[in-house]
Amino acid sequence: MLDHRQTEAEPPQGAPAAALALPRDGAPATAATEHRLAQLGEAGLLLLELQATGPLPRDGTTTLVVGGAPLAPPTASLTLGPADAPRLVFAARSRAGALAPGTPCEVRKGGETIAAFRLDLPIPAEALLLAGRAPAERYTLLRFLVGTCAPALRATTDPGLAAVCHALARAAVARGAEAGAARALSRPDAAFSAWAVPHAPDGAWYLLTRGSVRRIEAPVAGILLLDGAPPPGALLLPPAPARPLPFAPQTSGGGTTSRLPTVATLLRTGISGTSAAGRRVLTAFTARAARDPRCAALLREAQLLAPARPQRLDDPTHPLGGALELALSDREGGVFLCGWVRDPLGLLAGLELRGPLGAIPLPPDALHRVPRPDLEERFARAAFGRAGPTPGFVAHLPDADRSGVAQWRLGLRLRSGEAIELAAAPALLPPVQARDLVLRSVHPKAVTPALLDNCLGPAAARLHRAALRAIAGTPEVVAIGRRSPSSTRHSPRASLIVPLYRNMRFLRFQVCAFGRDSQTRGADLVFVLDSPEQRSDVEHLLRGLSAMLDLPMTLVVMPANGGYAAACNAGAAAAHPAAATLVFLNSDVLPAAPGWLGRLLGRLARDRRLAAVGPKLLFDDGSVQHAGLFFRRAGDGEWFNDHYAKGFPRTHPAAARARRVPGVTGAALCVRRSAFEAAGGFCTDYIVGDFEDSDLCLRLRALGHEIAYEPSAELFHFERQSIATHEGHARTLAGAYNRRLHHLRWGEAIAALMTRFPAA
Amino acid sequence: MSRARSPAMRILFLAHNHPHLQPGGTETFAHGLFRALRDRHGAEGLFLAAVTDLLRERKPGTLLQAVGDAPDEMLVSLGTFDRFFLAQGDVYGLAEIAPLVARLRPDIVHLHHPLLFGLEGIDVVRRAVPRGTAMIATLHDYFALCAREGQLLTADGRLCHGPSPDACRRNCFPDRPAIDLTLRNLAIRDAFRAFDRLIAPSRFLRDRFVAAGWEAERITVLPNAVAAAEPAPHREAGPEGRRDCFAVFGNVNRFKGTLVALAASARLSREGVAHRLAVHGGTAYQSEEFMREFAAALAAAPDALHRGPYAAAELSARMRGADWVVVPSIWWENAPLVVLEAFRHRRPVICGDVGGMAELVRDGVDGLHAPVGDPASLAATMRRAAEEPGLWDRLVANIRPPPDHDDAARQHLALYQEVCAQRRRPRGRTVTSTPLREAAIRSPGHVLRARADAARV
Repeated sequence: MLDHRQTEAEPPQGAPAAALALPRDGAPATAATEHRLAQLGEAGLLLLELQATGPLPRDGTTTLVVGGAPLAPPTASLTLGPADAPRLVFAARSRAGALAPGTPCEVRKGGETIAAFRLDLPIPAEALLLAGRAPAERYTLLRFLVGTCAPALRATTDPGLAAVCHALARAAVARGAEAGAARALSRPDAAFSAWAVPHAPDGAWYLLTRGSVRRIEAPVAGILLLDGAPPPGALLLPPAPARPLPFAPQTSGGGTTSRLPTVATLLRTGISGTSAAGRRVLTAFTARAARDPRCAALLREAQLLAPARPQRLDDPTHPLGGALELALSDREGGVFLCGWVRDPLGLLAGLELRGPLGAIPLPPDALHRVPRPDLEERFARAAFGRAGPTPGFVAHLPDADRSGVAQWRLGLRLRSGEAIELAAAPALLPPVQARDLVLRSVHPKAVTPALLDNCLGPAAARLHRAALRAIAGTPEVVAIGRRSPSSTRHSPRASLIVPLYRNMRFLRFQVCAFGRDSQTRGADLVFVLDSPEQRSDVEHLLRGLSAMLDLPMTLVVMPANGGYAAACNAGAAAAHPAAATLVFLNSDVLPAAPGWLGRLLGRLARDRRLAAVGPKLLFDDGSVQHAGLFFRRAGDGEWFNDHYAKGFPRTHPAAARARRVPGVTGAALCVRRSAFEAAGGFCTDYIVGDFEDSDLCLRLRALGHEIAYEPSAELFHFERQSIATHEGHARTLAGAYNRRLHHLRWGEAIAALMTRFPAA
Repeated sequence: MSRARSPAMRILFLAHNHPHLQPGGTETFAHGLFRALRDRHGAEGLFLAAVTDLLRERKPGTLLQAVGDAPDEMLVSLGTFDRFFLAQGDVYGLAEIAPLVARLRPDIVHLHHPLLFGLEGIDVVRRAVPRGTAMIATLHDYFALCAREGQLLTADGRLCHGPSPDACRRNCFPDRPAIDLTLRNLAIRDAFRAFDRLIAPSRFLRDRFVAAGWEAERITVLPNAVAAAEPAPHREAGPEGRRDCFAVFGNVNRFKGTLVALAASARLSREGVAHRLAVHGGTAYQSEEFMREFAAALAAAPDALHRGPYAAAELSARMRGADWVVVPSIWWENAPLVVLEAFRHRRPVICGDVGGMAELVRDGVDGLHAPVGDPASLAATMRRAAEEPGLWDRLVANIRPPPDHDDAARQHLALYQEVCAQRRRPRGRTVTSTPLREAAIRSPGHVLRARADAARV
């Protein structure tokens, strides 16, 4: 009967009444317990085996008292042999110097003293454990040492214990017909090695090396994953009653380790389905990836490097069609899906989303169905039927992706029980690209507020946040030109901030115009480049113009495209500290004549309640483009921005009156710096650019300020030249998204505001 | 910053070409004026002409080079010029000439054409010269208004009265976005604000600019001039004093109307009117299509002859064979030098009845007008010129000698002095009549009320 027990801390029992005469002066004890003692290594582990003369008490902890003092826990004990004459194996940590031969000892259990003796000289551990024992008992001792002593006595790295365990294990390895081994599947890498192991019952696995006894993760699907290669001579100890296993470096075919694939290669073959062993290794990695970031990283890398070819089922002659066109990580634990399914004969029982960790069902209410006009033509004359009115689907599963899946698959489960699997394109794209794909996934005509609020919006918002986070680094501030020494105490009243994106068509006209107007010459000029790939051309041009006009300016280079708000905020941050007013100008705005800046600043100066003013803006032919910004309801009840007098003649009275207005356009926005900063600058939640100006105006109003229109300042605005070239806006729902966000945020405030201002 | 006031006026002339390289009217006049000012009117300064790689190779390490032996005439190589926007893209190159210009410390910078220097050139020079330097530009054509080579002539050869966004796009620039025309207009007006005064060689030109919205007070009319010369002797008259030798001078191209004159001559030949028409001038840079038309027109006009190009020194000799000078231009013209040359050599002029031509030539006084661009009417006028007895002599007697370069120099100097003085007056008020001033003059006691009224305006 095997009996492992660990003793807990316990006060010593009273001395039993046992007729034991303690020997004196080193003379061997008469009637002393037969015992053997071994010491393991330098750390003071001791093993004691003693022969009991009668049955041992069933209950109670076992305590060894050495020289009158019991050894402190933790300790461990094992009972071997027949019940009427059992042997007790006892393990403990001893005090230094306590094991001098001749020291009187007692063993107590359950209140009884079951043994008393004077210590003999210790014998080698291997002699104690191995010599003269039946293999079964040796195996039992091995289990005791590895499973109980090592962890209990915190001796897993004790070389003495390790050595003796290793020796026991070596002795217990099966040979001949029953021989088993862990067979290498991979070339031992720095990070991982994969081994095929025979089946074993559930339980703890151990790795026994000459220096340590370590518990390791159990294998999955018969594959054992080890950190790196096992040290030479290491042995595996599967759960009882399996025997220890050696590591067999050769393949089953007898090849050498250098011909084996690496773990990464195995994973890729597993993913692409070209190797059974690879599939098993993949399963093992997947199971471990949830807990081990290194596994997860290796897994993701393998997926990225060996993506399965995307598959579509779009042959019109088939009765079933489908594709998972997008399965994008939203960078915050969710996944966005876009695809289509054509099932004219009703063959599908359901859809599911398949990833490495399993399948996620996609019931009908999880999917938003949308029309797909691009499929109409393809399936117009399909034998089994057309694609239907809403073959497309989009979905956002906010929590489906905890581990950063690199590639998802769509499972089409048929009523017959079979399933077809279609792979999607890789899930991990740069967040800006992914965001734009989300916003391009549905035709603008098919977008409903519900779709925006519940599906496209949350996914786009998460990716937009990721995109903003991805603008790693701070903008670079480049000083261009120098002020002449006579103007060292240059204290500009205003800072002109111009965000630039891609279209530099008007830049030289703008700079030359600023250079010829004494008022703008005295201002602080800041250009913000939001398309940093053009940096060298733009810097070259600005340096030339600056020298030609003797006009210093600042160029701020964004680390990556961040959109209007981020660029303007960066410009504001780089503005001259003395500038009390910020003037934001689009790159396609050009003064109609000098003196406009003074008129805007003058208006602000005359009315303390104003936080912002805006000028009259003209189309290229002189008709009015902006005479103040107001809000209008669209057909669906949402608010959108409009300008007073848009399209009216330049001198029409409607555009001639300086007055308070709900807001002014960001194309030419003159704002007190203190108010701008108190409002937090431009809001970066909008995608690409749109509504940031009205959002700021509404925030300024919420802080109690007023906003005015100043028609004596006139500039041309060659409208929409810059936003039309931004791919993230021109063909996508970014505008709809921004409008919805703006409406949800400000709808009530706007309704109240528009009761005080005319509607047109 | 004070400096010793030297009595000589320091002038910097900027031209888009030098007559030694390629003689055109603008640069010929500008150069003649400069030399007169320098050599005979005590001015100091520099004549700086822009040049492209087409006409002169650049010297290594510098954009500058001499032209001929004159110490006060130089060329600057500038490329990358956009004729539509009058934009000089080589801002680094322009910045290089700034030190040269700055060292000169001119009292006057006189720009004779915005081509090649461009609007950026104007900006560079304005920045480089002292604040007290006045800048003047002569509008030798309508380039600042019209992107079609400054001619105010539509693509299909019709006269244009002035720029308008719709008409410009429809008639001449259907492929240009409307924004480009606005940009061009804005940029030119903005850049030209650097000039204290603009000179128009004709009232007609000034009127076109004023009609387009340029301020009339900024434009002064000063006539063009041609070099003084001994008039070429008249030829012997034909029987009964018949004067039937006609000549056209100038580059042969469509807008100078050479084809119109040849068609008129062809018509006269068909009608049996004896005459001769000599076409003096080269055909450089003309298209193959035009050359075919020119050849055909010559072939159809048996009494016409193409005498080929001529150098300035040969003009007198070429004039000898002509009784009349025909200016058949189909565009407005401004103050065509060919008319002044004709008057210098005492030849009456037959020209179109519009624009700068009609201003210089008084119909029935020192020349004859014919409806512009109309070969039949021109033929009729030429017939009258050949056949009406005594007409030629009367017209010749009324010819007034045109200004020469010294006349022009005197007039320009006076203008320079006026403009310089104006510029150095304390900034702010030019003297104009206001209600306030008038009130003060009338009655001091009413000044206070007038001032209050003015404040409310």
